[in-house]
Amino acid sequence: MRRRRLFPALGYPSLWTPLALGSSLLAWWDAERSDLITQAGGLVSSWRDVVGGYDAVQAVGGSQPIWSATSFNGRPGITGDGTDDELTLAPVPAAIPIGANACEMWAVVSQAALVADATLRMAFSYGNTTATARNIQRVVDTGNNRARGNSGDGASARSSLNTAVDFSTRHVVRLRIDLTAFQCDVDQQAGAVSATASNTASSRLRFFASAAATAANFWNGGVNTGLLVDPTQMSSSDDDNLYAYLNRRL
Amino acid sequence: MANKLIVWPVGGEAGRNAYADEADAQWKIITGNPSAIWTYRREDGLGRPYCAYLGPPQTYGGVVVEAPPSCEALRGDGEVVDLVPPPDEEE
Repeated sequence: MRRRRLFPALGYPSLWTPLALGSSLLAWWDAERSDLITQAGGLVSSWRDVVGGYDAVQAVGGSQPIWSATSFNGRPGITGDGTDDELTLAPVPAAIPIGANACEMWAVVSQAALVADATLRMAFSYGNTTATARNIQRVVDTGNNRARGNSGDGASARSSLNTAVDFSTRHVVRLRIDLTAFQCDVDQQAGAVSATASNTASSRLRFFASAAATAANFWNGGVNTGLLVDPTQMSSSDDDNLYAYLNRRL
Repeated sequence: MANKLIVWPVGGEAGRNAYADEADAQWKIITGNPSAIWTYRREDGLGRPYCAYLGPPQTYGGVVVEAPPSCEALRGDGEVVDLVPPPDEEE
């Protein structure tokens, strides 16, 4: 009888997940974890994160985004209508860096707004108004869809525009914020560096809209993943592993 | 698939609230949830009262929600739109 090798030989790659980041992983909302999503009739009322159980919620039916097992290029995703859908966690949990403290916001998104739609739209935000928030945004710049990161300095919004990538359909976005600067990378292509000391409030975290008290700038498209990491403990291999993991979601 | 909004002229809060009350009531029936709420009640950047429109293309359980006749009867001078200008950012 032929002997089966149930456990492959040394060198077989283990399945890396963001949980391997340990304490560097601050929060992780995963649309592929249907066990952490509360929905009725496909409408999402709660999206709980993997790490701390942080619960982004929406009780109002007309503002509930839609979950589907296949909406994100055949994978699970939550889709906002670009009109009034959003999920809110308030206040920002204590483990999430605010003020000027370093943090990276990662998101796997699909962006459905056409260039003819000039509306500023936000997929993932935390803080309060744009002067005191960190946002992953979509803008139209010289006739192209572009990703833009915002990290307000307390007095005004500040931006990092990424002109390297046509920000239509699906992408991995990484908003990298440290004590004195930030930049918005898309699919590992760097955005402009903004020399800014952030001043982020702790009011709320939101998917599919701004972080202001009254939600606005609604996202038209899907979100498969929203993730927050502490970059101060991460290695370059951690970055590569995380990109590789998230790229497989596209 | 986008929701629509329904917006009334400045000062039209009574019409907005009447529509929203009935939409909330109908949403409870549609969802079978007696605690369900359909819509926020807000003002847009022009000071006009508005709320979410209960009707296509909204879906529930994958089925398009048809506008309840009792809600349609309360639209008055409310206009169904895709977007409204956002209000100024507030703290």
